[in-house]
Amino acid sequence: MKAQYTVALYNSQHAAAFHKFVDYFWPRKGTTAAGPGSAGEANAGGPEGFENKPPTFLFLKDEEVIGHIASLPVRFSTRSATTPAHWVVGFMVLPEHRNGLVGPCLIKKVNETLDLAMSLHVEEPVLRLLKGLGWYHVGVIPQYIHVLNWHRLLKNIRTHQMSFLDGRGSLWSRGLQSLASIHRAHLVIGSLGRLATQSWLLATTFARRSGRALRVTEDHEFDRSYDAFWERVGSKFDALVVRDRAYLQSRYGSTLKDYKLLACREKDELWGFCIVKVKQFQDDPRMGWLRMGSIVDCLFDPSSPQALQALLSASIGCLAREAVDAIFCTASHRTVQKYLMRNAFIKMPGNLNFAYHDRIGAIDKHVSLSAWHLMRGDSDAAANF
Amino acid sequence: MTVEELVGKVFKINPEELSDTSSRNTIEQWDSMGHLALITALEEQFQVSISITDAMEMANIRKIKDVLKEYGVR
Repeated sequence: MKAQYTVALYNSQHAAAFHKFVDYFWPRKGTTAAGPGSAGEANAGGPEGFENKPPTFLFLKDEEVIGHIASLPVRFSTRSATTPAHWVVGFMVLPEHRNGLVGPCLIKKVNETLDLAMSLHVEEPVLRLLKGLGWYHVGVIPQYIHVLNWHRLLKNIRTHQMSFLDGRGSLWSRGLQSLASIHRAHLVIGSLGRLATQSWLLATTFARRSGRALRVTEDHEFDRSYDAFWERVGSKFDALVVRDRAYLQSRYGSTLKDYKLLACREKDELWGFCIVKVKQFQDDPRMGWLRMGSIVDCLFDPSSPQALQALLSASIGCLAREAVDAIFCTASHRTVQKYLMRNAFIKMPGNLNFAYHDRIGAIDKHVSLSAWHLMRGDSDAAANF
Repeated sequence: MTVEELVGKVFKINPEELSDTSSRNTIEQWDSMGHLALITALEEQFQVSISITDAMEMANIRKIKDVLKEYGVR
């Protein structure tokens, strides 16, 4: 008898098949229907403040799930309006069904269902599919690295196992690998790298001074000041996902123990925050046992970015105290990029593609990638790093 | 237009090089997006609405012809 193929939105009847599918891709998650920050969150009811469960798209072969896309509801914000939107996450197809119709059919269903869908993804085949089905590719978000321990980085780096270094930057990673392969080069080049970093920081000392009484402390929850801060600064950005208290709570609240939330205040008024992940790939032999940290999210006042400077300095200090070897930061906004450079972050090739499908004309296509405020914390992209 | 001509047009191949056994394994351009483009072209050309199940079956030209017959296309 011929197998029947359908694309469906998840409902409770699919639970058993869905759990089996999730277990295949994310076995460590058990049968909790929790993908890596994606499907599980979506099917668990979605972030707080949203009445309806976000749609999860399934491609079914009879009653077996063979493909899947989940969605995370957010609000997209411009200088003049906010619009409901969804991050599209957890795009997975069983290996034996790849290169067929499963992926395109799922994306078509997403296009038909969601008014404004956005995606941050690293895989080139996904980008080809999205573009082929009418998605607008805004670009690849630049990535930055600040090296705290050049010796360890050069001695232990395994660029061929670090997809986030490879991506489109094979020359960059080959160069780094070549340096690392030279006998004892890490000692000499490591010292030079450290000297260069310190010299750069010295040279930019004046530019990094704020002259304001800004104070950075670690917060352990998103209190009401985060809502007030969003109200003050949200409309100063051309395009970003709403980062109010409800969003932050739903995005980071349950996993805040995995991050450090650094808040910048002046006279008790919030002027910015930064979310830092400390234990990224720690103790992972694939990463050469390197200790990596990342700055996954931040919000600041673009018309008064001294708080961003204070937060970046504090983030570097915080991660240095945790004995991190290198700090990564993926950031699209031009102000964040400028301040990263001032703080001795080196630009390297990015691998995180940003694309969207807009049925309602909410997004102005003339807004360049550097006017968007996107970071790894958006969507579930931090899990891909 | 014959199925071979349509497949040739979608994948930019000389239809004379195609046979019933031409398939996703023998035509390099026949990837995910190619398959979708082919189904869309078949629907437009033969004025049919092909179900996902049937579209999944269309893995070679012979299968395409068989499925189209079921839709009344001669």
